[in-house]
Amino acid sequence: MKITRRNFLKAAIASGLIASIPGEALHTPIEKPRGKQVQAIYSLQPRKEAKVRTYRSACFICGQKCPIRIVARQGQVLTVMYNTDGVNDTQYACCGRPHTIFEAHTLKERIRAPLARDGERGSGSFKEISWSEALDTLASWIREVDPGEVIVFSHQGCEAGIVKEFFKEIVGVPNVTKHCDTCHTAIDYASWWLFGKLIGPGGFRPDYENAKLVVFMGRNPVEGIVAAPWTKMFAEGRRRGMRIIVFDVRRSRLTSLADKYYLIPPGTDLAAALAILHVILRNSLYDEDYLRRYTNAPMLVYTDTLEPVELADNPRIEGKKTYKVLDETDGTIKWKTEAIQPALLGEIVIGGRMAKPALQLLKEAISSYTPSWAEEITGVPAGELEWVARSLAYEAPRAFIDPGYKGTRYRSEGMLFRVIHLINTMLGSIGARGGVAWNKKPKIKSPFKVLGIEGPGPQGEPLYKYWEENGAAFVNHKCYSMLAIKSILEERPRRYRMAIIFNQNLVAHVQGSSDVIRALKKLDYVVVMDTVFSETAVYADLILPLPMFFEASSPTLFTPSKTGRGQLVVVEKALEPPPGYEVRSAWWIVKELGKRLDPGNSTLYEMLGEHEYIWRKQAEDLGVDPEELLDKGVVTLYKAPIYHPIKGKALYTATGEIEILNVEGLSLYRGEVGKPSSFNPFPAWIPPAWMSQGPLGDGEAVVVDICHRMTATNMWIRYTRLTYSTLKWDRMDGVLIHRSKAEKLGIKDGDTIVLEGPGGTLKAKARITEDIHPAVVLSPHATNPGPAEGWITVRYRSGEERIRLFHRTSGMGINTNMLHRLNDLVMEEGGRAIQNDVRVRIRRG
Amino acid sequence: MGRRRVMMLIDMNSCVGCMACVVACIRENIARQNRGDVEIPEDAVYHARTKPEYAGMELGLTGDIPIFIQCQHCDNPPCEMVCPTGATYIDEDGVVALDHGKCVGCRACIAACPYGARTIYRRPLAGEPLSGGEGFQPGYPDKCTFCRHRKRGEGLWTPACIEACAFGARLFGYEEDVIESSEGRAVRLLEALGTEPKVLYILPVKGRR
Amino acid sequence: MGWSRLTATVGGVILVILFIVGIAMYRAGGGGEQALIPWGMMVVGYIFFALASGGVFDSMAIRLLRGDKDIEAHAGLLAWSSLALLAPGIVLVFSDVLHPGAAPYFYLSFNPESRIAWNAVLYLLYGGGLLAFTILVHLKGPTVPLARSIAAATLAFSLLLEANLGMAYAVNVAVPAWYASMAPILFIALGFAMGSGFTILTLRLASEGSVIAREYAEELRYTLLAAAFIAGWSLVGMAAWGDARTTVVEVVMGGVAPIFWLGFVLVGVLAPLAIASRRPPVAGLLAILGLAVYLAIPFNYTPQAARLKVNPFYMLLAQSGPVEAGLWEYVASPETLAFIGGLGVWLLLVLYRGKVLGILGLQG
Repeated sequence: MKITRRNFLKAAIASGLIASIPGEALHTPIEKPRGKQVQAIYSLQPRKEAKVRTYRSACFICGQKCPIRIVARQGQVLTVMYNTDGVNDTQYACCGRPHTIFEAHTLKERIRAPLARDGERGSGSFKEISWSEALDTLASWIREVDPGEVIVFSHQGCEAGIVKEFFKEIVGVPNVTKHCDTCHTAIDYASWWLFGKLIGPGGFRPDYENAKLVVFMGRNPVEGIVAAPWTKMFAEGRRRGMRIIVFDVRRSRLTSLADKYYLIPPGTDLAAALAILHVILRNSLYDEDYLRRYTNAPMLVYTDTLEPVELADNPRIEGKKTYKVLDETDGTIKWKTEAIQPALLGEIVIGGRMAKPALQLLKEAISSYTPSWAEEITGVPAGELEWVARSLAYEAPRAFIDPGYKGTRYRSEGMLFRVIHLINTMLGSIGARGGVAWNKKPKIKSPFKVLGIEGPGPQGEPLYKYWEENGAAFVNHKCYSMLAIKSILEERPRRYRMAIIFNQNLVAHVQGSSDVIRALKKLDYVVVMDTVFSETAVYADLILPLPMFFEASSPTLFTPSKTGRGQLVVVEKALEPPPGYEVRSAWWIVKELGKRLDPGNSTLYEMLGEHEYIWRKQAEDLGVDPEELLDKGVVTLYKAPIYHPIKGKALYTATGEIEILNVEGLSLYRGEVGKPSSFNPFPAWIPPAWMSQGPLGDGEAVVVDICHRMTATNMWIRYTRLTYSTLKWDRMDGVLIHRSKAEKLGIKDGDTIVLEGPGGTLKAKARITEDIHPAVVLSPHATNPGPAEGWITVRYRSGEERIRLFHRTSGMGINTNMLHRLNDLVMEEGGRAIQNDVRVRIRRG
Repeated sequence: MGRRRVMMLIDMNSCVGCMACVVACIRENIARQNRGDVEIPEDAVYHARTKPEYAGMELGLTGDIPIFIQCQHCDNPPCEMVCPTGATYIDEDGVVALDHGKCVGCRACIAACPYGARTIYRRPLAGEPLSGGEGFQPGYPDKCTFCRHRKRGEGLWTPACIEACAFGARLFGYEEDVIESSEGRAVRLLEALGTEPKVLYILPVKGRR
Repeated sequence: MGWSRLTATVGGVILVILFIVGIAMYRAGGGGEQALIPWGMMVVGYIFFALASGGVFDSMAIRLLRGDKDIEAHAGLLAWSSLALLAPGIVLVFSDVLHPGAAPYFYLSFNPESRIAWNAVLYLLYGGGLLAFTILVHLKGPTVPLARSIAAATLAFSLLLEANLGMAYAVNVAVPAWYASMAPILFIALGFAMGSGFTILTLRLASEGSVIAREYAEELRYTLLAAAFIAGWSLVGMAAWGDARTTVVEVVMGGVAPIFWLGFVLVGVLAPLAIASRRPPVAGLLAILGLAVYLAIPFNYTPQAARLKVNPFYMLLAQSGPVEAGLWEYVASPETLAFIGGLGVWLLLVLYRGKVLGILGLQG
C-alpha cells in the first residue's frame, strides 16, 4: 500500500523543508505509538549464531547505574540495550553513553597491569609489577602508617561501596570521602533550610510524568548525568503535555524542546527565582491551605529579635515543636495545633512587641526583588518573569522548578536552591503528584554484613570535625574531598601521609588542580585504582588497574534508585578484559588485602567471590524473590514514589513541617539577616563571585563547564573517539566562545586560545558560536588534560609503551578546576566548589 | 504488490538527543571490532547512518526543529533513479539498498540525494563491521539500510537504532501500522520533491496544550 | 613562425605526465571525501573532452554530409583529432569512477532511468562510430557511401551523447541549480563552440587549411554567442527560483563571479570575437580556456557548493562534517592535474598522427 496524501497528510502544505499538517493535529496529546503488528521496541533481537549471550548489567559511566543488557559474542559487543522489568517501563532507560563500551574495551589509555612509579612523582614513568608485589607493597604501607594518616577518596565504579567500607570499618581509616562537595553539596545545604536535613538531589523525584509545567534552572535532564530514567519520565511528561521553561547560559537540546527559554548570565538564576517568588508572594498566588497544613508559614515571629513568639513541644508529634499563630476565626493567638485557621499574613502586637507570621516576614524580606530588579541582572524582561511566576501558579501544584541534580556550582547556588524549594512550597508542589515527590531508596545489606566480616571501625576523628570548628558549616559527612585536600596542604588537623584514590580523578575533579597536585606531592604514598590513566594517576606511586564495569561481575546488588521506585540490579561480567590485561576488580583487591591485613578472616574474604550467594542473601533481606531478580536482572520494589508534602510523617525540622523560615537557622544565624550570606535565614540576593568583581572586560569571560550528552564524570568516556566525534559533530571539540567576544578579540573559529584563571592557564581550541550567553566561555567538563599534558611512559613486561591522555582525541576543551583555586571554596555551604564561577582572561594563543 | 513494506517513525518529542541510536548504528554498521582494537573512521558521527542535528535553530531555516540526517528510504528515490548500474535498488521490503558488487562508484547517488543521506569515506579500514557486507565499506557511498542484514526469514526485524532507543522515540514496522500509529501527526521531509519518504517524523509540540 | 613542434612535443609530454600523476593520486584517495561535492574536476574533464570530441566531429560531419568539398581534405585529420579528444575523456571516466571493475553492469544491469547508464551506451555508440569512420576515411577516403552513412549515424550519437551528458545534471532533484536546467541544449552549443576551437587548433598544429580555419573562426563566434545566450538564459530562469537563486547570486556577484566573468564571458566570448578574424588559433585557444573555466566552476562546482547553503541537510553536513568544500579544495586537487593533463594526450596524438597511423597500418 502506498501512502496517499489523503490518508497520510491531510491537506498537507507541500512546501518548504517540512510538509506541515493542520494546527489541530499538532496540539493533540501524544500517546505512545501503538499498533498490533508493530515490532515491539523492547524485544531482544534473537540471534542464531553460536556463543551469543545476553548479560545483565548496569551502566557505571555516571552515578545512576541504569540497568542494561549487553549482548556479546566472543568478545564482540553486538548490542547494548536498557534493561527493564517490562512493567514499570517509564522508570527504566539508558542514554547513549553505555553504547560506547565496545570502544572503551580497547582504549589506548587503559591501564593494563599493576604499575609502580619509576622516576620522580609526576614524571609519568611507571613500570609493571606483579599483583602479589603490588598487594604486598600496599599492605606494608597500610601497616606502616596510622589509619588516621590515610585519606580514602572514592568516586564511583561498581565497587566504591566495598572499598569505602573495607577501609573505614576493617582498616579503620576515619577519613573516607566521596566527591559530592564538587557536585551537589549546595543542593544538600538548601534542603536543610526547608526540610531540616542535608538531602541530596536523589532524595527528590521531579514527577515529570504528571507535571504540567516545569521550569529548569541549573538542570538539564536530557543531557545531564544521572538522568536517563528521569529523561524517560521527562519524555513521558512531554507526551502528556508537560510544558517546559528553561533558564540557561546556552542553547541545547533542552532549549530546543522548551516552550520558552532564556539565556542568562551565569549564576543569575537566583535573581530570576527571587523575582518569581516575589510575584507569587505579592499577588498571593500561593496555596494557602498547603502552607497552613504543612509549613510553618503562620508561625508568629517577633519583628525586633526575630525569635518565634513561643515554641512548645508538639503534643501530637513526639520530639517536634509547635508554635504560636494568629487564628483568623477569632483573632486570638493560639498554638498551631489548636488553631482552626492560622493567619498567613498580617501583624499583631503581643506584650508591646510587634509579631508577624513567617510568610509576612518572608514577603517583606523579598519585597525589593521585583521582576524589574531581576531584569537588570538577568536580562529577562520583567513581564516575562511575571508570566513565568503566574504560569507556575496557574498550573500548581502540577508545576515546579526542577530541584536539580549536579550543582550549578556558582557562589549563589545554595541560595538558588533554597529559593527554588521555597517557590515549590508556595505552589504546594512538594510532595504533590506532578510536583516534586519524595524518593524511596532500599538499603542493600553490604557484602561484608552478609558475610559477617567485621572490623574495629574508624580509628580516630574525621577531619571534617576540625573544619566544622574552623569556619565550615553544613558539611556532608560523606563528602569532604576538598576539605581533605586542604587538610593535606595545611597539615590541619594533622599531617597526612597516604591517599588511596579509587576511581576518582582528583586533579581533574577538584577545584584547584594545581593545589591538588601540590597536596599529592606532599604525601608519602599515593595509591590510585582506576581503569584508565588520568591526570591523577600521573602522580601515583602505585597504580592498581581495574576492569571496566562490564568486564567483571560484582559481589553486590545495586540500586539505580534515583527514580524513587527502589530498583534492584544485578551486574554480570559480559566481556573478558582484552588478552594480556592484568586487571582485577575492587572486591578481589579487597579480598587479597583483607587476607594480608586480617589473616584470621581469610575464609570469609574468600567468600567475597561468591557473588550469586551474596546477591541471593541481599535480595532475601529486602523481601525480593532471588529467582525473579536473577532471571530478569532487575526488579522494582515500590509502586510509586512518596506523594505527600512531608513524606507522611514529621520532617527533620524542629517543627516537623516544611519550614519557610527555619527555626534553628533563625536562632543560629539571626545576625546574618539582611546580608548577602548563605547563613541569612531569609532569601537574599547573593551575586555570583564573578559578578562581585565588577563588570566583565572585553577580554574576560566566566568559564563554565557543562555536561555534554556523551561525557560524564567517569573519566574514560572522554577518551573515546565516539565521544570526541560527537563533540566535533556538535562543534564542541574545543571551548565555545560567543561571536561578539571572539570578534572583539580577533579570535577565529579553530584558533588556539589561552585562558588565564586565578589558579592556572590552559590552551584550548576556540569554537565560535551564538548559542551561548556572551558572558561565558564553555566546554564539556574535563576535556583538557592541563598540567598532566604530555606522555606517560610505561615499561610493561611486554615492552615499553608511550601513552598520552586523549590519545586519539583532542583534549582541547577546558577544565574549570585547572583555572581555579582551592581557596575559593564556599565554607559556609559544606566546603563546596564554585567551579563555574571563575573569571578568566582570554587571548589568542 | 504482495509484500508488506517497512517504515520508520521518529517522534521528536520523545527524542532527547542522547546519541544512543547513532552510537548503536556506528557499532552495528560502521566500526570494526577487531581482535584487540576497534577501528572507527575519523568523524564517526558524520559517517553514522543516522545522526541528529540540532543546529537548525541557528540557521533560521529549520527553526529550532531538530532533524535526523539519514536515508529516508524514499518510494521514489532520486538515488535509485540516477544509478547507472542498478546498484541502488528498492528491495522486497521497500528498503532502499545498495549492491556493492554492482556499484561503479560514480557518486551520482550522492549528488542526487536531497537528504544528505549518503556519505563516502576513502581511507582504509581494517576488518569487517558487524553487519558484514551490508556495512560501511570505504570507497562506496554509504547509507542506512534499516539494518536489513538483521532480517531472519520472513517478518520484521529490529534495526540497531530502534533497539538502542530507550525513550520510545523510534518506531519501525510495516507501512500501514506505522501510519496508523502516527495518528496523522507525522510529516515527511522535503515533501515537495515528491520523493515519498518512508521515514516519518512527529515534530516537537510547543506552546499551551 | 608559429609553434615549434619541439615546444609542443615537450608541452605534450609534460601534460601527459601530469595526466598520469593526477590519475594515480586520485586513485590513491587523493580526491578527498566526496559527500559534499561529489563531482570533481575529473568529471568536468571527461565532460569537457566528450563535448570537444563531439564538437569537432559534428561540424566536420555536417559539412561533409552537406557536400562541402573543402572539408574532404581535412576529414581524416579532424576525425583523428576527435578521436584523440575522446581518448583522454574515456580514460578519465574510468579513472573517476571508484570501481571501474563494475562497469559491465552499465550494460548487464542497465537502468533506463539513469542518464549515466545512457551515457555508457552512447559513449560506446559514438566512440564506435567515430573509430569506424576514422578507419574508413583513412583507408577509403571520406566520400565513399559507407563513410557518409557512418558519419550520419555517428553525428546522431554524438549529439545525443552531448545532450545526455547535460541531462545527467538536469535530471537531479537534489541540486537546485541543475534541476530541470537547459543543460542538454547548452551542452550541444558548448560542444559546437569547443569543436570549432579544437578544429582551428588541430588545423594549425597540422599546418593545414588556413581558409577553412577562418570559416571555423566565424562559426566559433556564433556558437559561443549561442552558448552564452543559453547559459545566460538559464541564469535568468534560475534567478526566479528560490533554491537555485543562491547559485545565480554566487555566479554573478559572489565569490566565483570574477572567474565567471573572466572565464566564460571575457575569455570565452569577447576576446575571440575581437581577434577571431585575424588570429583564429588564439581565438580558439581563448574560447577553449573560457569554456573549460565555465564548465569547471560556474557550471559544475558552484551549484554543488550552493546547495550547501540552500538545502538544510547539506547545510548541516557541511557545518558539522569534516569535509571542506571550498573552491580551493575543489581546484587544488589531483583531479585538476588529470583534467589539464588530458590535453597532452590529444596534443601528442595530433602532432604524431602520421607516426601513429603508420604503426596502426592506416597510413593511406
